[in-house]
Amino acid sequence: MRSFSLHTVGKGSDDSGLDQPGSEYKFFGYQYSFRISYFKMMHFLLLFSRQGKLRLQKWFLPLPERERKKIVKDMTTMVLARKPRTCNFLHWKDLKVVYKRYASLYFCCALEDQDNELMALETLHRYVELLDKYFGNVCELDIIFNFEKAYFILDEFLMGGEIQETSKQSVARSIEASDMLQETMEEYMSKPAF
Amino acid sequence: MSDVVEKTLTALPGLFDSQTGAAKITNRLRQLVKSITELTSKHEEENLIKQELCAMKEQVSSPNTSMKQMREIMVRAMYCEMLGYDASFTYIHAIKLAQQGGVLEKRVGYLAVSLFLNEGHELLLLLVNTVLKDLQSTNLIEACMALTVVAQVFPKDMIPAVLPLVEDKLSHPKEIIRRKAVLALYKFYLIAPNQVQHIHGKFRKALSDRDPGVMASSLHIYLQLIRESPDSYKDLTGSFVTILKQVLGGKLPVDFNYHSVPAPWLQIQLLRILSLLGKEDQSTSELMYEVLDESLRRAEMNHNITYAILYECVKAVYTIHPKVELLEKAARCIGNFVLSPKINLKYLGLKALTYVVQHDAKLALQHQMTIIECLDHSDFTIKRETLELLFRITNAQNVTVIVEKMLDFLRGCNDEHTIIHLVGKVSELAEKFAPDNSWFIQTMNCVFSIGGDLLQQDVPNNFLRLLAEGSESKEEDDQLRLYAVESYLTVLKGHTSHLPQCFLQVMSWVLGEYAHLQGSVDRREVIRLLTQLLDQRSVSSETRVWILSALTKIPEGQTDLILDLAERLASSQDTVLRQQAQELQHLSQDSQLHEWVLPRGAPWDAIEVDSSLSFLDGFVSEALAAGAAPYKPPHQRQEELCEDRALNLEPYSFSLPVSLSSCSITDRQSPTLLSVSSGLSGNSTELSQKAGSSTLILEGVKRVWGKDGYLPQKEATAPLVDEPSAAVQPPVQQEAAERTEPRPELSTRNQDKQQLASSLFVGLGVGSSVSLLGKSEAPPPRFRKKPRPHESSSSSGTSEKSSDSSCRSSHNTTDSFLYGSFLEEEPATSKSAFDHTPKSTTANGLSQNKDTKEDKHTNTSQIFGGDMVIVRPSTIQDKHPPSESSDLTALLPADLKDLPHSDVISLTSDPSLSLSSCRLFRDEALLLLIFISNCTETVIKDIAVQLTCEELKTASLRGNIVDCLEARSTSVCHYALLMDDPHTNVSFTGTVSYQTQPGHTNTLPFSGTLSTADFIRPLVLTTEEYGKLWLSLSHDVKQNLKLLTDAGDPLRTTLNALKDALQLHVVDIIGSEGIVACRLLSSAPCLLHCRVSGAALVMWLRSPHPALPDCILYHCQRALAHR
Repeated sequence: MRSFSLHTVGKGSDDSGLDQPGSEYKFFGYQYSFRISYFKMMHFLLLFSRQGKLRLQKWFLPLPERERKKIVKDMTTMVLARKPRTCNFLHWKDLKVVYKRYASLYFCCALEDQDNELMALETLHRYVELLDKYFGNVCELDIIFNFEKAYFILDEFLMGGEIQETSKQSVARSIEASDMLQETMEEYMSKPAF
Repeated sequence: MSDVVEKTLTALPGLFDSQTGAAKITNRLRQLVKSITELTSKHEEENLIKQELCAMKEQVSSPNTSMKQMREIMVRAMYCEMLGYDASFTYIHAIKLAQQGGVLEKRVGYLAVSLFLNEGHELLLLLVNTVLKDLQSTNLIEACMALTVVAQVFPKDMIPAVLPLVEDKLSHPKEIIRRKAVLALYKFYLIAPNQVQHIHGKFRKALSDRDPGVMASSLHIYLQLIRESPDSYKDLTGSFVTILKQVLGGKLPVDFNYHSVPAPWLQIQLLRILSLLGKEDQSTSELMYEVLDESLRRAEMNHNITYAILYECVKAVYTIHPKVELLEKAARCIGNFVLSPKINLKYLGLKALTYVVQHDAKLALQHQMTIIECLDHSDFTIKRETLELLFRITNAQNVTVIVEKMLDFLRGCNDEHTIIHLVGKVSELAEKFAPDNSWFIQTMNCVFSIGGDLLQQDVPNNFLRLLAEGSESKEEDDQLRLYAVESYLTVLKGHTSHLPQCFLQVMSWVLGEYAHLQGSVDRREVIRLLTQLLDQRSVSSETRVWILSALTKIPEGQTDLILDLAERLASSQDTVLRQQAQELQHLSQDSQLHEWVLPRGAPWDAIEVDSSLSFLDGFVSEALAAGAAPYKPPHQRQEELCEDRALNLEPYSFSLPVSLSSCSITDRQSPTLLSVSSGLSGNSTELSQKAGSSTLILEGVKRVWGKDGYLPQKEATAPLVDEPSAAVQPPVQQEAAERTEPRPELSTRNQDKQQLASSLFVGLGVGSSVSLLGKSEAPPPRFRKKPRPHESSSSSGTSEKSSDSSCRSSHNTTDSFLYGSFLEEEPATSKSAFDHTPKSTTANGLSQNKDTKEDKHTNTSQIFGGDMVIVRPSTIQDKHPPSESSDLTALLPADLKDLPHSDVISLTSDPSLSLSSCRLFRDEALLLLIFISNCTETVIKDIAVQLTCEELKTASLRGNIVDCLEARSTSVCHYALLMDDPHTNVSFTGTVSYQTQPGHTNTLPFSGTLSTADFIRPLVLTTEEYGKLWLSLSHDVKQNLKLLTDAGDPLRTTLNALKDALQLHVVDIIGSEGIVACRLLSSAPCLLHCRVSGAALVMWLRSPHPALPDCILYHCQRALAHR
């Protein structure tokens, strides 16, 4: 627990919405770069089931394995404990957690305090739409059995925690392009060699 | 086209389910998943996975495993890792798969790599060649995969390998490649900004790319760039506005729409950029009013995403230079948020309000009932956000109610981080606005018992300092201390086992220092209470030390009790305790010694601490003479250990002299100092040291602790009173009450709420309307904390009086040297007040300087006479004084005329004043001259300049207060700036307040940027000296730079270019090598070694300061790029 380096307690008038760059940016004590990247969109994205089983994890900042496990545990317990009809946002350390439940699956991501939570909520929704479009009426099982595809789609959609492509068509197109290739290669490879 | 895509996409899942190859591949995974779900216990799962992993291990090491099988294994390995099991044996195979497989395998291989390997994992090195190959591949998909993995996992030191290839991709014909390349560069920029310095021009091309996706990606980079230096990108404002207009007008392809809102993410990004550009800049802001207005208007659809846009829009409107109509519209928008029944919107509304009330506190009044409701909301998140908002609107009148609410929340909260965060805020509010002693002490008691040992160390430290330093009036200080003593005695008489250690420490310190103030209480009682604590098992040994030192301070007379105790502890296990007990024993027996060591009631500054431990010098030299090894500080020992262990690949360093030279360096830094701070010789010295040094500098600071600030109790207790008496309440509250009147039934609950509202929002409307421009200055704090002393001065206890040389230990010679050099410019004393170029040299530079500043109101006449240069143009021809920059340089004081200086830059202006600045480069500091020109035909009075810069040390030399400025004349204000830690760019902000008519104060904010280059000075030395110094420096950076090849001698040309741009000193040039030296002002040196290698310049920098080489490299790159 003590290994987390907690940011200094806010000094009130200092931490207004738009801050000055220049101080060192640390996340859990790991120096990431020598400047602050404020609107870094996401720190991580997790998908987990109602039972707290992790279904997909994407980390946009380098963190050691131990911290990751701790975060996953924190997230599942916190989010699953939320009562119905509460808002979709949570304070967690100095970050904001945005989550949403789709059927039996929770989508959950963490952002900087200054970021726009509502937008992140819609970003999650966009990702679900993309999954839906690809799998056709997506359900948890699709993601369990084809989790690598879910990762591929995510990689086309987000890059380094920032939105890469907001056009649904283009994401679909690029996924489809590599998938088509996959299929044809597959057929080609499985042809009996004479 | 899109139809076809649609069809294939819908058909795809079907393909997986049928018996194609893909299905076969996933079969094993399917089996695994299925069997896991059938298991009932965690133990069974572990066994199964263990088996699975064993099987996989066998398979991967078998030579017969095909790539296809390997791919399937990799998918299973990813699954196992996701479940939390270690499959690290597959990592190397993931890299192999990415390397050798076909496109299909590659894709899985790359995915596995990005999931398995963190940035900085050593195996990543093996991936570089694969990535390079794929980046050059003509296959689009391979190139895409390579770009993706580069952006995900490549660490800083591997970026140079791929950078040229990624850069090339910016002009790739396919938009998807261009887009990914831009994002990869964005990532590079985040982790290693120096390395992409030269590509900024290409970013502009990406911004004007014909594909909206590429353009949108480039905005990520621009947001970062603009945040760092908004001024360099003002010219792009027009383009961003046009893009936003086009997006709003629906000019983008329809598939960028999200729930029929055109490209919302793009809009949000643009709004953020615009708000940064328009911040504190009227002319730029004017360009964007129209489009912001349209943005506010367009976002009327009732969908989350439109609210997300609105939120950004509101923030932008309140960040840029204000425009009344827009502000009104934005305020209405916030109403929509806050009043919405949807809880997510309510949350965002609160967040927006929190942001906005800093500019206009009245807005909180409009929504007070909603805020009250949110305060009692069942959702924890909403409550917490509301408290955040309340924190922002706290003033002296509502502080008791708000702090009460915060403490209530804290008592029901068990999240560590929240507690630390809020407790810090409570203590801040208590210090700022405390209405009286008892409330302050009680609140701090709550803070300590709730926050407990989670508290940041500075909360108790600040509190104790506040008690110790006191204010002007000794009587009031003693009252506060007395109250603290009383309240602690009560606490200690109760149950103490649950109290946090930090609270116990605070209490024992206060009792030790001030128990004597309380005449009525028996000393024996205090001693008994404290000794009782010592017996408790739960008290930590650190706290015991605090208690013991408190007991040491409680004076003589009670020897029997003390001796008992000391005897008991003399056999303690803890060495520190044992030592303390010994001291206690001796001191209590020898009252004369006691009086001498711990003088009662002596002022803090009378205690001089010899932090250099000079009295030990004899002992040390004796030991050295007897053959003892010189002291090495821990960090150096660590370094040497590392050096021994690591392979040394550097061609330069000889193994022999390194240790010698590094020794000599640490000798210079006074090793004894380090031993002081690391030693655990009790807390009393440290504390007194701290307190002592701070009191000194701050003499003359007045604390607002008078009767006038005292509040009538009735406002604070308003919620308890049955009916709010309208007569007592300020008009604002009446207004508020009227607004809530139309509610159909005034149930008692509602009434309660309204009363709460009136007590919460009291004092908000008053005077808040003026604060739009001036960013609402914080009210004067109740307990004005004295500014912190400098790091350097705190260690040596710089007292004005302690001019003895032992205090100025070798540690801070540089500092004193620096300050010393200001002395020539000191506004000095009344004697030289009417001298136009004061050159008197006084003994203590900064401290006196501060005094002068603080006493500004009393002796403004002196300053007026001495430090200001009033210049009256003989004829008034020019209507715009700021443009005549050449004239302004003529205003440079005679003694500064010869210094090298920059051009005069206009900072800001308003109808009455215009400000411009000029930088003068002195050897030991940067002088910043601010020219204040009166553009009106009338006299402007009471001009006061305030300059702040977080990263720099600033000292005002003269002219920051001007009594009156004649029409059309200019006054000059001097600042000296010092940079201790290099930053690539620093910005300074400040305000000028002035009066055009009596009683009507205007403020004009200004800001500007400085670069490290302003602080770099040439370092003149010989080649031999350079060689010696080189070996003694520890931090180095190496990088290839562009070589200027347009002249006959490229090396010489390049170095000269750098010399011109950065004021470096070229020491020597031999053949294809050159050595250059510079320093950061007159402190840390930086040595540069340059070698021509092909068309590049290999630059190797070394410096004792870890961040300096990076900084200088950055500026070198810039200098060369701009040629």
